[in-house]
Amino acid sequence: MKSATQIWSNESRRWLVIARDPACSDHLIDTNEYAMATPTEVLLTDPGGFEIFPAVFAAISGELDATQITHIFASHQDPDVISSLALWLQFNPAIRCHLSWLWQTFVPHFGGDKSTFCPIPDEGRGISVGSTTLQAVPAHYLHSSGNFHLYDAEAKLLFTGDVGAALLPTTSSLYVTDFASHIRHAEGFHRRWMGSKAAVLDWCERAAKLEIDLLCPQHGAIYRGKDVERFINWFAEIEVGHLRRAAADAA
Amino acid sequence: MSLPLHAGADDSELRRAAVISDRIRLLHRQSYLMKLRASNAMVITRSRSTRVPGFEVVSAQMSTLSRELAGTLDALRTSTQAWVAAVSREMAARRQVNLLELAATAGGECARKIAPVVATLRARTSAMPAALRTLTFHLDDARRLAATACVLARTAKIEAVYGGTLAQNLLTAAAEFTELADSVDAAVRAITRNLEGRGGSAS
Repeated sequence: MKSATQIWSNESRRWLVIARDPACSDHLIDTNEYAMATPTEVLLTDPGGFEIFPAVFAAISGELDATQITHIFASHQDPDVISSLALWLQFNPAIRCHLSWLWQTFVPHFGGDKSTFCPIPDEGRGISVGSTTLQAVPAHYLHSSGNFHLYDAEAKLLFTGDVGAALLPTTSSLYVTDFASHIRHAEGFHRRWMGSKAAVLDWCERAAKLEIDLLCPQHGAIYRGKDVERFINWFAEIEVGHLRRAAADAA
Repeated sequence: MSLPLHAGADDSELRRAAVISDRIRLLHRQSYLMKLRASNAMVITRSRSTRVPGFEVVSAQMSTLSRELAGTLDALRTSTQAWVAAVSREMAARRQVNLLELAATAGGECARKIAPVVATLRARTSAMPAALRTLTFHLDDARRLAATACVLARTAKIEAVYGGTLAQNLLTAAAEFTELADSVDAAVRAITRNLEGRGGSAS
């Protein structure tokens, strides 16, 4: 079973990460779901696939009132990101799903109707949850062609979807503890999955301007403090978008 | 062809499970407050020269009972999560069945091929009854302990009157414990009623 852990809080809000399912089968990539809870509404980021819905739902409902989940943020269209959508909507048909306009006619194949989706324009926009507004930050082509990250300026927390992801065992720490050894588990993933160097540099420039204490990927461990800057610098240097090069490096 | 968003009884079952889970989460917090109040009551009796033997005995019992109740609520919380997961799995499986049945409405060869798949899915033993039995077992335990806590709290109030110079402090401590014990007892009863009203039987 997954477990929910608080990663940030103030008097009125908190962020939880739902992660590390030791029972997760090898054939499914392990994912991190994040929940931002206000006193009245909860937003979930990349709520995960159909198969892991029970584990995610049980972990969340152990920590907060699941009936308050009214928003889902999908960084992109992948099955491990949003294929559980139909089940969330079955639980609460009033849930609204924020995602790139590019995917608004594709993702309904997982579930939902016209009223479910709140498309995000390419330049991004604010997403209001309770009395808080989070910012959808463009991250196109990293790795999806319509891709967003989510920034909480007060918490200084950036949810980065697949950027920063690392393929780690389910027993590993929630946080990056040794950047040099951690990044080895992230390298192959980034080389293969990130499609464009221009997009990488564009993102790095944007991210470097934000105040970030917690960089929270959908897979692997959370970067905090100095490791955030280390990651941005590392990402800016990495070669991406060449299959032959990625394969050669992996060999 | 798509399934309606409102797909029947299984959705309400998960919503009820979520509400019950949230109430148990809040109850879990209260049990720790109860433990704290019981410890405070014991500290008051030990820190002064005045001996209040009756209250001392009752507060020691309150402390032991609070610890036991907190342990039971830990177990209750774990079993609730397992139950919520089982209800979620059931809902996901029912959605698959509904989709297949929808496809089968095309009739002919398609329906014939889908029928055995649906039958297999339906025949799968659900983990829900077992998970619900464990939850009910822990809830019964919690109900018994909460009821005993209410009785102890009232006894503590009576004993506090014989506390001499400490009487006022002891009465305050007993009143705080009573308030918490009553609210835990009421919450456990409400959860039990809600669970019994879910339409299925735990046994």
